[in-house]
Amino acid sequence: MSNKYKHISDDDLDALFRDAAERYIPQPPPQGAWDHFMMQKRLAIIEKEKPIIKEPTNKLWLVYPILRKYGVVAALFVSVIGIAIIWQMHTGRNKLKEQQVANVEQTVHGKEPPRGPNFVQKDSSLLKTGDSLYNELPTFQGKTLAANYHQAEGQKNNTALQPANPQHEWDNSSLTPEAHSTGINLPTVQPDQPHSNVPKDKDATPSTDMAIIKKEQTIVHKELDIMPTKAPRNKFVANGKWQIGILAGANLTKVKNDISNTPGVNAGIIVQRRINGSRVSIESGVIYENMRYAVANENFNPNGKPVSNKVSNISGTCTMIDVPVNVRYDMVHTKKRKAFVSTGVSPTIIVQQSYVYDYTDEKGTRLIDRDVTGKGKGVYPVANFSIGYEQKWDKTSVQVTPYIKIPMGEIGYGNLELGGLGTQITLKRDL
Amino acid sequence: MRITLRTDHSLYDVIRGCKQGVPAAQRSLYDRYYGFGMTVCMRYAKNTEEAVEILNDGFIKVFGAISGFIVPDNEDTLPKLFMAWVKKIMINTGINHFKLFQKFYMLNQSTTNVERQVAAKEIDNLAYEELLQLIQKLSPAYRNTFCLYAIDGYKHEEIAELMGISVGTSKSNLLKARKNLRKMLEQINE
Repeated sequence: MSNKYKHISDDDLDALFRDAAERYIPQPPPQGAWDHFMMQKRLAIIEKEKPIIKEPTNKLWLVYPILRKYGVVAALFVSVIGIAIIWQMHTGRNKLKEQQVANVEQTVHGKEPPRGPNFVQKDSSLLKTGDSLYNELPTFQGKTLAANYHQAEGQKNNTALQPANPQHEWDNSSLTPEAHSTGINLPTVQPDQPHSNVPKDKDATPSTDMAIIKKEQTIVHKELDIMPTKAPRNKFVANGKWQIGILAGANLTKVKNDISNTPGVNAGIIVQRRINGSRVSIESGVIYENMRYAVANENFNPNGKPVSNKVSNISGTCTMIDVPVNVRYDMVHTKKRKAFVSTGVSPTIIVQQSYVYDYTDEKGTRLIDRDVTGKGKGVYPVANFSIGYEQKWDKTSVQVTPYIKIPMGEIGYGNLELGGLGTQITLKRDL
Repeated sequence: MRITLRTDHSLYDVIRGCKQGVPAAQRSLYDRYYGFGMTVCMRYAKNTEEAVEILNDGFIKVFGAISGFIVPDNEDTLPKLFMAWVKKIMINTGINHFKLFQKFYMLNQSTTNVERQVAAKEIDNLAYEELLQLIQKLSPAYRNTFCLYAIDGYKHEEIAELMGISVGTSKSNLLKARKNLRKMLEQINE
């Protein structure tokens, strides 16, 4: 008999079954069918009316899902701790900046600065306000610039520093050679007569003195390239080198040369550090990834052995935690836009894996679903390659990164070379 | 007002009776559509017992929802419309049944014994029951997709929505179902 159904067309095959169904004459119900139906109906009603009491069968019923998702929970925990530390650093830095601004304001306006734990008061017979910032000002012509500031403060407030007889003579001989050349009179300070050498007109008021001194100091600072408001360098000073971000994306899994057509998803957080203001950055993070893929029998080797020919249509699902460590180079590097290439490696941990396949034997074809979590190699390295574009608005930026992941080993129950390609969208913020 | 049913009652009267919850009308409808319902349910079940279970679940839904069935003005179109309505309920019940017992299928299918074998004969003469046996040998996902598409005329988008799968999976299931059916037909034909 010819095997005419080997190459039967899809339409003909469908028609064969459809026509048979249409030709079929329905049979009357057998004896007792109605009674059986009524019984089933009553049972359904009783079942519907029965109150649903959900009792945990095991004391671990609450803990079990957490234990099952242990890997994900651990990764999230690490992420939260990381964010908390970075946030703490960021907050501390802001407080320090506020204190520095307040110190400057105090000096200029006579306001008392808030004194935080970082406040340091230097011992000085002249300085009574305890402003550490001005104590650090350089000495010029044997006198500190800080002395000038406090002298001015004293005059402004007309306090203890105000002389009994404010008669000031303009003495050109007291001008230093630098002052002659620049036209600036540099005031000298005597501890016992704090303001005796401050140049003033005979009828100058204290407020006029203050203005003159401020003007002089500004010019002197300009000459010396010293600005009194410049804070001492601190490791917490904002430099925009750190960035933190959240990302999400979709991926297609690649098993050897086969690319799946069912997309998986990924999401996570990343931290990025620019190196010495250059175009090079290091980025790392924690990413949750879900992969879905079909596997050809020849690529699926559980325990290193080839799979039985009774198995077909293998499709798998894999959930993993990816910890990428990438080096990024900005090819285009402007304030608003960046285009970059990036490469690195990811230690990848499999959290969950399962397979669905057809098993055909003399009894027919059955669909088998197996959870194989924990079987086979659970950790493997993956090489990452990506290109991307980053658009920045103020401190926030959005980045689109197409990427490819190349496995550097075999992984999981089926010893698969599991790679992938996809795109991630990252929302980042400068720290 | 309750109606009295005669043995030669029309479908219109039966439906009216069912809408009022008359047991005799319900039984009449059950007897009338049992065969048709079984024809549909057999396609979405792995054996007759399961098909009867789906059918009875389907009839419970039919009787529950019949008050919402709008009887057309033209009584001639009523049988066709009502049959399509019942068919849809039966198909949905079959798919829901599959979804509900999906895990059970997967755990126990290795012990399921499909003993009935299709006798070797000319395929063209195969009756619906015999072709059904081939369909029932398919895995539930393939079987449902094939029946919905090839026999009941659903589109892939509708199948995907009904079964909670992607369109791609639906197409893939159909492809694999046809492949397996071809194999089985070849074996019978040898």
